[in-house]
Formats: sequence, C-alpha cells, structure tokens
Amino acid sequence: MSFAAAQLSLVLSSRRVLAPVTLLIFAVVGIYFYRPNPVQGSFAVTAVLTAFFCAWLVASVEREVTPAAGAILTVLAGGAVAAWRGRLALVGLFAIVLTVFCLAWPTATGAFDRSPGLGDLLAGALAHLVCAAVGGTLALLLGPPLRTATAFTVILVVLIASIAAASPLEIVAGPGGVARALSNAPDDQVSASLLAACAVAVTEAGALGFAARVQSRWRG
Amino acid sequence: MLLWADGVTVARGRTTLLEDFSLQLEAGELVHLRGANGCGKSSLMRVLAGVVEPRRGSVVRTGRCEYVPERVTLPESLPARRWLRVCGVGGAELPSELDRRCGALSNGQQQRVVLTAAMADGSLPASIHLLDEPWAGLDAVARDTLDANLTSVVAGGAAVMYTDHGHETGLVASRTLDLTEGGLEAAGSDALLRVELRRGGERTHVVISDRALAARLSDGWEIERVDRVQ
Repeated sequence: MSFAAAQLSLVLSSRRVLAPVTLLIFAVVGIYFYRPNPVQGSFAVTAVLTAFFCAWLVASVEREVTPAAGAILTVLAGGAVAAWRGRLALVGLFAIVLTVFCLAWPTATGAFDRSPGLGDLLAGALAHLVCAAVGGTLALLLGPPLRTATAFTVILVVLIASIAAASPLEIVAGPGGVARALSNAPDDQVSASLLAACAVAVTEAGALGFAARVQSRWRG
Repeated sequence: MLLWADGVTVARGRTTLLEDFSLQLEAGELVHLRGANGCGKSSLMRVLAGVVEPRRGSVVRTGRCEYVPERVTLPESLPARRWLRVCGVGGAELPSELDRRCGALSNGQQQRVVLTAAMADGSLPASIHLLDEPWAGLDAVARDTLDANLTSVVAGGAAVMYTDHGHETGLVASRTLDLTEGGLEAAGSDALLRVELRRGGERTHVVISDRALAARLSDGWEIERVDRVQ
C-alpha cells in the first residue's frame, strides 16, 4: 500500500473528514441556490473555497496519523522522500476531487445563468486545482506539532489576506489573484492573466511544499 | 550487509546529536544501541530507519526495513486489524483481545499490535528490524514472546537493532553500540576515537574520548581496532 493510500485508509476510519466534506457540500449548494450565477464569477468563489477545504482535508489527515504511525508508514513507504511524495500525491488527489465536485455540481444541476463552454470549464478547473494546491501545501507547512487552532487561524488569515490583496497585487496574490483573474476573464476563454495567476500560484504552492519539506527535515 | 550508515550527522533543530557516525549492520546481528537519555539513540534510529534524512552522510538499506518507534500511539478510531492491512500484513494472526479499535487498547496492547505487524515478515532473511524500546509497556508474557521472535528472526538471517533503556529483555546482543561516550558527552572533546573494543565474548563499538578509553582499558577491555574521528 502506498504512503498516500495508507494515510487515506487511516483517516477514513475516523470521522475527521466528515466536517470539511459536509461543509463543502453545504457551501457549494448554498452558493448556487440563489441566482444570478455567472459562470466565471461563481467559479472564482468556489476556487477560493477549495483552497480552504483542501487545507482542511490535508490538515485532517496530518492530524489523524499519529507521529508513531506516520514514522512506521514512512519506513514502509521506503523513506522520507517517498513519504513526502505521498503527501504531495494526497494534496493532488484532494485537489482533483474538490475540483471535479465544484465543476460538476453546478454544471450537472444547470445552476449557471448560461451553459458553461469548454473554455469556462478549463479555466475553472485550472483555477480550482492551483488554489487547492496552495491550500494543501500550506496545510503541510502548518502540520503537527503546530497546534490545530494556530494552524487554522494562519490558514484563514493567509486566505483572507490573499483575497484582500487581489486588487492591488493582481496575479501575484495567490488564490485571491487567481479568483480575480478568473472573474475578470472573458466568457468561455482561458485568459492570459488567468494563466499568469495560475503560474504564480503553482510557484507559491511549490515554495510552500519545499518549505514544509525543509522544516520537516530540520525538525529531525 | 543489510544496512550501511556512512559519516552520518544526526540533528534535531539546531542541536547536533551525533557527528560522523558510521555503522554496518550484517545479517544475523542482534545489536543493542545504548546510551544516556538525550544522547541521540531514538534520533539515530529514526535516521537509520529512514523516517528522517541525516543532515550529512548517507544510509543505505538493502533489505526490507521494519521500524517500531518508542511510545507507540495509533489513531484512536483505527481498528487494529486495519493497521495490519495498512502495513501489508493483513493475514497476520491477531489475538482476539487486540482485535478492537486502537483507542480501546492500552499502550502495551497497541505496542503488541505494532510489533505483530513489524514481526509478521520476520521470516524474510534480508530484513532489518529497528526497534526503539520495544519492551516498554509489555507484560512478562509479551516480553518473552518478543524475545523469542527476535531470536528466531536473527537466526533466520535478519538484522535487529534495539534500544532497551529499562533493561527489560533477557536477550544477549551480539554487539553493543554505546552512544554515551560518543554522543553528547564527548561533544566537547578535542580527541575522539572510533574504537572497537572486546572483553571476553563481548564486543562494542564506541566513539570515545582519550580519557574515557583509558578508563575502559583499565576495566578489562581490549582494543580491536581504532580510528581517529577528529
């Protein structure tokens, strides 16, 4: 069993993921319950939400797997590097699941004001994936032994700051910048500014993941 | 050779616990790693097992590695049997009193669950078992069972390294690694020597200061091999 699958197996035996999953469904259904629902604007909102929910899911896993269990699974996976790849794979898995749900739900239920085109879906998928990656890697950086309340406070502050900074900083504002670029993009198109914002967000996620890795190695 | 550590530096944060540590673990060896509290035994175990990478140097493992950390705690809601499946030994025999959620098990019982998983593949000849205080929390029967299992896997060609701060095992190690004199206590020494010592049938590898070596020699130890560390 791979490290990511083992971690997932442990967390699924608990109820830790119930809260983020339930709240995510509630949030997405709630967002689309009231009209109007412009395609790009609505995707922009759920993209920022995926950053938070991916962080929550990753934090759930990191906190369910005890240090002893994590150490044993790391050895079984083949070492610290393999375990790290597993952690990143899990971030990727959560990002994909969240993206699929956030795109599929409104599209399947006809919740949008107009039918989303392929360009809309592509832009939405990109935005959701990179926002979730930023949230997930941020949760890795803020994993144990940091206290849960501290970690969640930092995650919320970072995401709120990212949204607040989206206007002055534009594409470099992380998830907020991606959401802004997406909501400003022409209908059914993947704009250059969205691609640039996604590239910046991917770089930020990479930097967060690298920092988390260095921190983990430093702690010993 | 099943495990080879070369010039390893073990550190936690800004604290360097061991520097330039080297070790070779052969098939059929039962090695006792000992030393004072805080000298770096558990950190060294973590590095040798691959839980964390060494700050410097390298560790090469050629066999399947099983690691049991100290103070084992498993996720409370996890069924013990699922832990065995996660560890890839779902078919291993689990006593009925352990077949519950881990939160309902005592520390000693959780230790037994982890040891059951770690020893399940003990019959594999080229396996490495790194056990950090594995007897802690076990009752007398479980301790004896573990001793018997370890003797069996070593006889089968596996290599075992353990720590036993509480002197809870009756096993006689084929080699003892003493970190006390080579770890933190010797950190300020000007002249450190890596020495292989022998006294009767007992052998030990230590990184040791000149003065500590003199004390050892007056205690009946003989030098097998000596290298200068710094």
